[in-house]
Formats: sequence, structure tokens, C-alpha cells
Amino acid sequence: MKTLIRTTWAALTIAVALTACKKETPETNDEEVITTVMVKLTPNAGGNPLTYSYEDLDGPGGNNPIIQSILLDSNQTYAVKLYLLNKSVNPADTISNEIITEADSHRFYYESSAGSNIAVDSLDRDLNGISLGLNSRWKTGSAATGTLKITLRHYPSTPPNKLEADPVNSPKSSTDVEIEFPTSVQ
Amino acid sequence: MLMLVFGIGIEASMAQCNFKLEGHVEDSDTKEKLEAATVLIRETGKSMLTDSRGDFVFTNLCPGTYHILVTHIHCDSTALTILIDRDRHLDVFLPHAKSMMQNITLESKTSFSVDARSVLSGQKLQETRGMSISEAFAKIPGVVLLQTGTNNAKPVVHGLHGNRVITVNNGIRQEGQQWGNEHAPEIDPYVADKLSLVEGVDALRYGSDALGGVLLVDPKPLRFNQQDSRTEFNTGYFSNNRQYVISAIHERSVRSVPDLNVRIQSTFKKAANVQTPHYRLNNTGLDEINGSLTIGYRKNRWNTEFYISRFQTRIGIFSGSHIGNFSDLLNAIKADQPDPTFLNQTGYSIARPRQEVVHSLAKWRQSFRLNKGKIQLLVSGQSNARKEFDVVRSSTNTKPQMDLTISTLAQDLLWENPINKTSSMLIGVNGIQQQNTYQGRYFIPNFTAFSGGMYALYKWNSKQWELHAGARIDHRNLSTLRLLVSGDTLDNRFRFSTQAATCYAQYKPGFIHDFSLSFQLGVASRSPHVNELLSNGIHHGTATFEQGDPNLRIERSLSIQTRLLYENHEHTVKLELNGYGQRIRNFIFMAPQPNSPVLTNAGAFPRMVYQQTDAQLMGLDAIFSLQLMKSLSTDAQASVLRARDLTRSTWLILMPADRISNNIKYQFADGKRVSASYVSAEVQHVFKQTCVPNVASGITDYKSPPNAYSLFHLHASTTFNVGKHPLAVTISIRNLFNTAYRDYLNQFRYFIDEPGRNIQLRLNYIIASKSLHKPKS
Repeated sequence: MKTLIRTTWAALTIAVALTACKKETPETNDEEVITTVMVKLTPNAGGNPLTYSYEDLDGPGGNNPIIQSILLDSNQTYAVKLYLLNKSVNPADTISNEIITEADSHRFYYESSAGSNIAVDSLDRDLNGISLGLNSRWKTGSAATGTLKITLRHYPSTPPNKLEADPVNSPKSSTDVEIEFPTSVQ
Repeated sequence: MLMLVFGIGIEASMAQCNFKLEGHVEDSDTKEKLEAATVLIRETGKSMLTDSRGDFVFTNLCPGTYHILVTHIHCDSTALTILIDRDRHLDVFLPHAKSMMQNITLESKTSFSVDARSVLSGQKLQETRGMSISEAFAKIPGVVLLQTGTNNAKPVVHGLHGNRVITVNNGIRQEGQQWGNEHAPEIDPYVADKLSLVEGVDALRYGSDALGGVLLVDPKPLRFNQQDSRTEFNTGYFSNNRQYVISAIHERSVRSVPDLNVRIQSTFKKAANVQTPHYRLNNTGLDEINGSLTIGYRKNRWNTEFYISRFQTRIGIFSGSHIGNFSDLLNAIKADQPDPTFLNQTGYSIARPRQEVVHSLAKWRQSFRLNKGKIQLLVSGQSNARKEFDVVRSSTNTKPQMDLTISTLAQDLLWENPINKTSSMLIGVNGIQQQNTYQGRYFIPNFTAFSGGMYALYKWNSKQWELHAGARIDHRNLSTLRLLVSGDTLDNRFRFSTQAATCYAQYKPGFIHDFSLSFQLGVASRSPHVNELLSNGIHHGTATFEQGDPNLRIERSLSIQTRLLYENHEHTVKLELNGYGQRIRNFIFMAPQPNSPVLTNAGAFPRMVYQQTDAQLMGLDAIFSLQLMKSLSTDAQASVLRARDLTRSTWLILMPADRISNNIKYQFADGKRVSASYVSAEVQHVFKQTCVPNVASGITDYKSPPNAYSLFHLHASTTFNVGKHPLAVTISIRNLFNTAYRDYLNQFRYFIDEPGRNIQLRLNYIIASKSLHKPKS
């Protein structure tokens, strides 16, 4: 009986000691998070490039994203570059570089609302010659307001089976980024 | 160990080998009929398991003297010698090896009882070999599956699952991330010799939070002082997903130390992509490699057992289920079938998305037999490491996106006190220390939890009455820690005290043969789990943003169960009715918030918040068995459940649909070479779930419940000797007509059909070296 009580105590003590001295583990980040989508527009006519961003620094949940309005000159052509960043790590991670390496399984779509007078074309292509869209050309018309939706689709299967005709809501791909900028052509 | 040997030595006369030995095995203390007792005729090497009525039959015996060994999981073995010179009947009363309350399943009334408990063992368990532990549990009436796709299933007991059901593996409460709907219990089903469902007084041993019940996974108890070894091989091949499984158990005593017994067990399983009737699902393979070691030592009053096990699995998740945001989900739901990109690949490779889980368990059980009763200490440590690999942008990324490790230490000290012949008592204290850590994506925080519990159970049994009562209190201290990216900390502390109590009464009038009526009343309470309090993130499988509520209160339930059992004298008719009702105050569930979606860079996600309501679950399980002819029997089962949200005056979401099933079985007489041969056909009908939340309640589903479906299954089995040892061969065809269907309780019912026809071949080979105790003749 005595032995039993002694063993019990020993076991309990060991158990408590084992759990009591565990340390806190600091939170790491979700490396998949895209906190920031930045649009850099360089006017063909010359002049300083414009940048606008859609930013959700604390990731999904928490505070709502901060969305800038895109202001463009009328009847102008812009060379546009997209940057995708993860600013929750230091230094910030440039996600768009990952997309360049995995171009055949990613694709950007640009949808401007009717009457916004922004037309997007000349999307860059992946190695298979299918649209990628990290670089594009935007043409503005006369003054108008509207929205521009940018969607990044990801083809998860191997092989990705990415085709030029795939619509933005293709069942073959899923959404990595879907943001909508208010636009104003002045 | 007690060995009763009756020796009747009479010369065998020459005659034909057509005699029959039939008999019946009972527990000598409780008079309970013992199912799954092994009856072995040493001379022929033939062995049989007793059926649910404790009966066994050997046919085609030659005249002579036979030595018979009868063993059962809860009793000491008994050896008998019997002369066969005509058809003989043998009643065997097995003495209890252990005191009344050592093993709670001793209280089992019959092996098919559905209310207080049900047991799955023997042939029925054999028919589930190769399937997951959850699928095996779902053979128990009242238990169904909650699935996420093809490989992730968890048991639902009377409508409740997850943290409301306790799974006990080899005496130890399984501690993993069981809160997740897509987290299947991490237990090797080949460890189990018996699966049971426990509700009521005995469930209090494991916690005050078993609102749904306790599921037990019990291995065969070690056999001491048997100077022989036993090796069992199980293999299986399934045609649908080209699954193969190999499992082996070897058990032996150490020659020089007869009090020492060792068992080693291992399983390997691998499966390729699953085929539905119209298409094959990419990335639905799985593999599993498990092992366990048991060492037992029994000397005088001491009984020691060490057990270690490791379960390791990789589970592929259908690649077409990867959903980027809510509009993707709606698109996927709209389609009749997934895009061909995600279909019709064969092969065993597992890519993203997938889960990798390792569950390790170490247990030490020490018991000390007192002059009356017993003291037992149970110490265990377990670790559950779960890694979930989502679809990621970069193909070079090898990291998991969710990485959770939960470590648990538990101590359980109990005292069994058999007060007198009719009553006994059990008192126990229990402590649990737990730590959870995570890396990668946040879903639940790091936490440490300290729990302590105390319980007392009392049982009084007489010929006509059984009265059981028990109570338990638990206290849980939970500290959660988040060290945010910003460097800030976000800590929470919770304290919960939970209580539970159950009373059970059974009346057996005696003037009607085998008729009993029982009634059970219980209260139970469950403290909110960490995920319900603090989860905060996107749940990728369902494209929802799940949010906990730190102000949730304890769930409290009041339940009643009543059961009627009837069996006629000839054992040809058996009826069992189990009605249950449960009222749960502060029932925690996820409520959609249609007016406040979460806006993210990947679009808008519906917000789901953990909320509380008052719920009421009422149901009935019925079983009717009929022996039509000597070799032909049929079993019918029905389960009905109605679950209400009382606050919103509507039905609760995600509750099992009503179902009926019927099984018809033809048992062949044992021949000279073959035994235990049968064919059976099973039809299973699951109704459409029509009791779903109404639109006004705001609780919405993306798609209305799938239609009703009927499935047909066939089984055929026989046993014959290969090199003096019995080989059992079973062939099953599941979903015989390759019916395409979807099940309401499968989270992937939005996208895909359930698996199609599956032809399953199982082999079971037992090599038992003959005992060294040579019977005297």
C-alpha cells in the first residue's frame, strides 16, 4: 500500500513538473497572406508614376482593409504593374515574385464596371503564352467614375490546365485575391 | 488463474462423425450471457465465438473425448473435458476474473443493447476491418458518421459529436484536436477487439462532458500464464480505391517469466484515389502506419501494464474542394459535378491539400488487489501533432499551413469497493494537464489547461432490480496565450466548473422471459472548448470565417433514456427499443451572420459566430431480430432523431437523417473442413433530412439536403484450416448497385458524390501454438 502511494506521488509530481515548465511559443505568420495589392501606373505620355493600394495589414478578420481610390487622367494610356506584398513580415515579402515563378498556374483578371471608362488590355503572358496579367495596359476615356475589380486565380491541380478561354469563375481555379477599387477618371 | 477441469474419461466408440455439441456461456456472477466468448476444441483446433445469446454450436464431431477451452475478455478461462458419444449440450459458467466494477462493460445487458450501451465485436467487427475506426463505430445503432470528403469521418452519437463525445482508447481519454469536423479520431482500428458505446453512469468515469456518450476502444486483455503464443494476421484489399491493409498481432508469455506477457501489433494501410459511380476523385488517397506494444506483469496482488502506441497517417483531401472564397464556393455548389481537372486520376500519390497526423500514447496502469476490491492508478501521456497542408501558391513550399500540437498528461486513481454481494462502489480522482501549441496560420491559440475531477459510482443489483447512480465534478483552468505578430500579447484566462450525475434503474419482472425495462435520468455539463471561445480565422473547407466568443457559458444538459428489451424463450424473437431525450441549455453552435461578412483581400467571406441556444434532441433506436429458420435470421433497425432549436423555434442544422436497415443472413452448417460460413445481405435506407432550420431563423445552408438513398451490401465468409490454423475469408460488396448518392452529414456533399461499389476481400489467419499444459487422459 505504501509503495502504491509513493508511486502515485512520484507520478503526479513528474506529471506536474513536465507541464509546468513549457514555454510560450511566439506566433508565426501565415506565409500565404497577401496584405497589400499595389497598382503602379506609369503614364505613356510621361510624368510621375501613380501608385494605389488595397491594404489589409492584419490579414483576414480584425480591421477592414484600407482601399484607396484610383484617380486617372482622361484619354490617357498607362503601363500598369501589379505588386502583391505580405507586409506582416519584416522585411515585407514580395508575393508577386512567387507568382512570376508559378505563372502557369496563376492568372489575373481585370473587370471594370460599365461606364467607368477604363479599358484593360495587353496582359503579359506565361511561358505557355496564356494571359498572366501582372503587367497590363490601361486606357482611359472621358471623365467617369466606377469600379475596377482585380482577381487573382490559382490553378491548384497538376497539371494546371490553364487555358486562355477560362473565365474568371472557372471551376478549374480558385480565388487568391479579389479586390475592388473605386475609380475616377478626371 | 482459476482452471476448472472436469474429467470424464470414457473410451471412444467407433461411429460416424455427425455429433453435435451445442452450449451456452454465461458469466457465473452476473448471469449475463457472454457474447464473443471463444470456445476452442483443442483436438480439432476449431474455435468459435459465441453469438449475442452466448450460444455456440459445433457440428460433425466424431465420437471421443474432447478438451475444451472457453475464454472471454472479462472472465477467467475455463477448461473442460467432455465425452461426445451423442449430441451434447454444455452450459459453461465463466468465473469473474475481476471484481464487479473493474470493467464497466460488465454491466452490459446484452451485446446488442442500444440504449445504455452497444457493443461491436466478433464477426460484426470483422466485417469492418480495413475501414476507419469511425466507420466501425457507425455499425452501432444510434451512431452515424459526420464526414468531410472521403477519408475524414467522425462518429456522431444521437446527434452529438466532437467534444460532446468522449473517445476512450485502451482506457485513456483520447486527446487530439477533436473539435474540428474534419479531424477524425487517430486510433488504429486493428487494436480493437471490441468497440462499445457507453451512456449513463459508467460514462462518468471519463468526464462530466460526455453529452453524447463515451466510445470505448478495447483491445483483447492480455492472457497470463498461458505458455503459448498467438499470432494473428489480418489483410484486406478493397477494389474501389485499391486499398490494401496488412496488420499483425503477436502475443506471448515469456518462458522464464510466466507472469510476464507481451503483445506487439502493427498495421500498414495504403489507398489510392476514391471512385464514385461517375468519376474518380483526385487526391483522395491515404496511408497509415501504426504500431503498439503492450507489456503486462501480474504477480500476487499487483498487476502492471505498459502500453505504447503510435498512429501516423497522411490523408489526401479532394483537390477540387479547395475553395478560395465565398463566390468560389457558390460556383462549386452550382455545378453538378466537379471540373474534369480534378477528376479521374488514379494512383496512390497524395498532394496538397492533405493532413498529416501523428498520435503517440504511452500508458502505465498499476493495480493492486485488496482483500476486497482494488486500487488502480492509470498514468498516461499522449501527443497529437496535426499538420494541415493547404493549396499554396508556390510549388516549392513544403511547409504546413496549420500546425497544431497538443500534449496531454493524465492521472487517474480509483478505488473499487465491492461492499457486498449486491452492491459495489467506485471512487476516483483524475487530473489532466494539457498544452496546445501552434505554428503557421492562426485558428486556435496556444493554451495550457489544468483539469481535476472526482467521481463516485454506486451500483446495486438484485434479481429483479438494478439501481445505479453516479456523480462527478470537474474543474478546468484554461490559459490561452497569443504572442501576436506585432509583439503584443493576447491572453485569456477561463475557469469552468462542471458537474454531472446519473441515475439508472432497470426492472426485470422475471415472469416474462427475458423482458426488461430500464430508465435513466442524467445531467451533464460541458465547458466551452478553446475553438468555441477563441477561434478566429478562415475555415478553408467551408469558405467561412469562424469566430469564437470568449463569453460563452457552460453547456448543461438534462437527459432521459428509457429502454425496453424483450427476447422470447427460444431466442428466436428479440425486440429492443431505446428512446432518449435531451434538453441542452446554452447549446453551442455556429450561427451565420448574413449581415456582417468579413471583407478580405480574397473577397468577402460569410461570418460564422459561435452562439448559444437551448436545444432539445429526441430520438428512438429500434432493433428487431427474428430467427426465421435454424440457419436463417434477419435483423431490422431503425433510428429516428428530432433536434430542435428552442430559442429560434426551428430545427437544428446538421443532424442525422432518419434511417432504417435490414440484414438477412444465412448461416451454413459447419462442414468437415469449413466452419463459420455465412452469407448475408444488407439494405440500408437513409431518408432525406427534412428537419432543417427554416429561412426565418437566419440559419442558412448553401444547398438543401440531398435526396434519400438506399444502399445494398453483401457479405460472405467462411473459415477453414490452412496448415492446422484457421483462415477466415470474407468477401464484402459495399454499394452493390453502384448507386450515386450524397449524404447530408458529409461536408463535401456540396461538391461530390459518395464512393461507388467497393469489393472487399479480407483474410484473417490465427496461429495459436498449442498449450504446453497437456491435458491428462
